[in-house]
Amino acid sequence: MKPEFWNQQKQQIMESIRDLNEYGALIEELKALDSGLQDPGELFFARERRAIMKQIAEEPQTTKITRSWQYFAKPLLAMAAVLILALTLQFDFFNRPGGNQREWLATLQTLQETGWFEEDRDLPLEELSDQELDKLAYNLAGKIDFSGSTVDEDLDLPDLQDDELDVYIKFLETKVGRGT
Amino acid sequence: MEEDRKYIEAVLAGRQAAFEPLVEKYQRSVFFTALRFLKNQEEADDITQKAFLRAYQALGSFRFESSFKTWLTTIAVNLCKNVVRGQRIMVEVPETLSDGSVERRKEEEETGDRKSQLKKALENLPERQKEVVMLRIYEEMPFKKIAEVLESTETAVKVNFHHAMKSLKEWIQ
Repeated sequence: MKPEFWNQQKQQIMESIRDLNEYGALIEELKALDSGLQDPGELFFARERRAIMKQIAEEPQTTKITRSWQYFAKPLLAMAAVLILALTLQFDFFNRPGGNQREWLATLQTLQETGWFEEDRDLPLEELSDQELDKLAYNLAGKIDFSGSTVDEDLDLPDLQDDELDVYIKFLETKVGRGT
Repeated sequence: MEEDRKYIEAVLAGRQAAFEPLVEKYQRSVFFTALRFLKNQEEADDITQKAFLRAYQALGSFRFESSFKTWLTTIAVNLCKNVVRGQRIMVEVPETLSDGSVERRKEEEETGDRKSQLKKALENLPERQKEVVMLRIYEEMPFKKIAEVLESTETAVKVNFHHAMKSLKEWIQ
């Protein structure tokens, strides 16, 4: 390996450490904000507790709700709906005229390099047919939730460019993933 | 958790008083969560009482699939969100009626110390990001639990947290 490679790697590591330190400091500052919250004291909580128990005493007896047929039927109905949806999408994918599958290749390669889909780490992406590539992209989109259908409305993941997506994935892998 | 189950089963078996230890155990946590969201002690008190009452009313449907605390926090956060939504509708005024508060805020931002800047930055985050930051940093909840409380996915919660931290960092720099 050339010395430039090691220098570059060292710089990246130092940048990551700096980033982490900054995040750490920010979290500490945010925690410090919380110390400004006033504790109303034990008397307040005792009064609140009495108020809660008084309201509960006025409530009818709460009992265990027996599980109706719906409890068991609902998951089955949901599974059937997902299956139908998956089949519909599958057919739609194969019937659609070939188009942007190759555009996915670079993104998929990035994802593969960053180890996002570990089970397919050695998959020769270039050798895949357009349909296979499309299918893989589709599955992956579902897996990492940037399809836009399951993520929160204030996320802008569907609008991310490839390089932004790359940064985002790296971020998730190196930082947030460890926070769990 | 096992202790909570014991109390819950006792309540469901007809011993209403067995609910009190649960109130005592989680009352402060619910109150401070509500206080962080609403910034008002009276409202936080009201939400705490409502959250426990709702929990009691729905206790029969609690399946122990999550912890009682997570379930209770979900109820409280949803109640807080309703209050915040109501407040937002009430205080929305057209820009033409601005009383100069925007200019004042700008001035304050320039002169204010880092702590108040950070407070403001936190206030200005989108609601969902603010919720994630509060639960993660102040309640020290794992992302998985936050996802349960906010009825979202773990990935979405992580992305929201990342966006929030990025915004906060940029804001205070």
